[in-house]
Amino acid sequence: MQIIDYDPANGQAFQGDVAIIPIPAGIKIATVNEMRPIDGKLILQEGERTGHHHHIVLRERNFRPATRQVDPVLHVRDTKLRRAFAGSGRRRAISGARMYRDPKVATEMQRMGLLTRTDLAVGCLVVEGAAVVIAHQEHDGIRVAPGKYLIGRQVEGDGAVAERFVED
Amino acid sequence: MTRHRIKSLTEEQERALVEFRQRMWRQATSCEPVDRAVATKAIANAYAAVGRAPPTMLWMPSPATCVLALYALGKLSENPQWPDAARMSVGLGIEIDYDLSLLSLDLWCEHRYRLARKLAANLKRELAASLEQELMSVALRTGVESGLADWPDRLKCTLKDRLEAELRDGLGVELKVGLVNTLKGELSADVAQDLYYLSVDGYFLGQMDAHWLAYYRFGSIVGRVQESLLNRLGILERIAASCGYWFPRDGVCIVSDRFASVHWNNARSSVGFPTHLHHGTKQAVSFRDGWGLYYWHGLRIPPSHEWLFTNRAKLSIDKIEKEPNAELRRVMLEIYGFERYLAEREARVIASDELHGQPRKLYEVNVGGEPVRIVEVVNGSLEGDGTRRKFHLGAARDSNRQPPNTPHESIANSYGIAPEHYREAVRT
Repeated sequence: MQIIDYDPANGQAFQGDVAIIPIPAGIKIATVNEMRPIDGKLILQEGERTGHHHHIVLRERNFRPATRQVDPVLHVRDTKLRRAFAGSGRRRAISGARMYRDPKVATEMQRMGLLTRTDLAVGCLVVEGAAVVIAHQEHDGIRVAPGKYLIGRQVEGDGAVAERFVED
Repeated sequence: MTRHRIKSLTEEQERALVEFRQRMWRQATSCEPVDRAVATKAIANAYAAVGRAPPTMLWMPSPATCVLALYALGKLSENPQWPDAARMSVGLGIEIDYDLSLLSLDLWCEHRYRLARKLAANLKRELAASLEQELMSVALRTGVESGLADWPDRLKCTLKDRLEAELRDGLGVELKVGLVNTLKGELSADVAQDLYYLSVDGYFLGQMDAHWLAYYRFGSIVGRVQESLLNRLGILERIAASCGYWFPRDGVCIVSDRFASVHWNNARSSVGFPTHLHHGTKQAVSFRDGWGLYYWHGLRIPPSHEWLFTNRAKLSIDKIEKEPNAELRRVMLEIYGFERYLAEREARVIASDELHGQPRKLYEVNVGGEPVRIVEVVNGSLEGDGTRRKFHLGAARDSNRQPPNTPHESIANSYGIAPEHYREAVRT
């Protein structure tokens, strides 16, 4: 399997039944409801029959969700200030990825005319520091640059009028 | 002492490396029956290396029955008396009566609780610490690698990594996942869970351990290694050359037979090893007790769909259209024949386009007198044999419940993206 670089300026990325859609800069993501990694992997979408899943392998330091209540440094959004608080002047490209459930993001993107529906949104992927790779056993990996992305599922028509989720 | 460090292999050594790699591959995928005499002696030597007496050998025809035997013996050890019926069937249609009579005299004379303790005492870590870790020790690394200068990385790339990719990460992982799926599918959740914990990480890969043993053996040929360390390497090599998975326990060693058959399609890795397990009509990986796994060009077929191989007459267009999993539907269509499907559904192409150099088509088919649209797309990722998988998805309607008129609209609808904003930067 290869790894393909994805530039969000060129559109959306697709890995089988998963869509990676850039979230416009003006939309804020609520970070209250974070999706937990499992065994060091952030699972974007799980294959129910084949057991294959779309995932990001996290580095050890990113295994646990943020503990905001106890670490004031993580509250600070300003990166310069945060580095100053953390006592490190060096910029280190450590990749980190987090997923949040925030239905308002898809609603806002639908209001802006980017989406036609909101029920396919799985969550909001936030990549910080350095690029991460979305991997899958049956597809080439996609290297995703730091940024905010809506992760969506795919449906297909089932007969003349019904529909169902695509699973691969 | 001045050491002669190898900068590169000679032509003769390069040729020897390729031959050695092929030999290791053949050994690791050998379908010869287990060589009990060699395995018994080598495993006894392994036990002796950690100060243990030779174990009672329990021979099983597959990794599945090894795990079931561990479970069955555990259950037997809970009985106050040796049960009359040593034949135990705990699922999969496989009866565990292999050699229990041989075991009974040796083991059942001891207190049953001791048997339970013996089975619970997993020697994997102890053996690994003694045999594997010493092999990977500084002494051996120095021996192998000091002679190779900066060459170890190349040796790893050309020998170890190549075998590892297809043996440990390919065949080995597939067998483990396949075994877990079989247990989950066929047994009650409690039993499957017990079996899983009994087996997980408590075994050696046997013949498939060749992937890392080969690195040290070939390195020792071209490098410098202490004789005592080669002795330990030799123990594991003899085991790898004689049997399949082995589950070392205190006083008991459960050993699996080698494969009965392994089949791949024509896809090959850069060094010519097959990469995609496949057989069109039977198990791609099978063992002599009948347990095995089905694959279609590298895709593991879950137990729920093994009927595609065992009872192909059941396959119909209705079943294909009702299959919710796109990968499995693709397999069903490939088996059934897409041309045959199109003809039977009186299909016609409504629109077609091209994306990333790959064609997309929108069909309309007749399902029971009702027009249904399906879109044909090609996978963004290349297969090992240079082909691409073709998928057929029911065309998704737009937000006004209108059917799409182009493949572009159909795919945009399927992800809920407005067609005017849908732009594929990357597709894999």
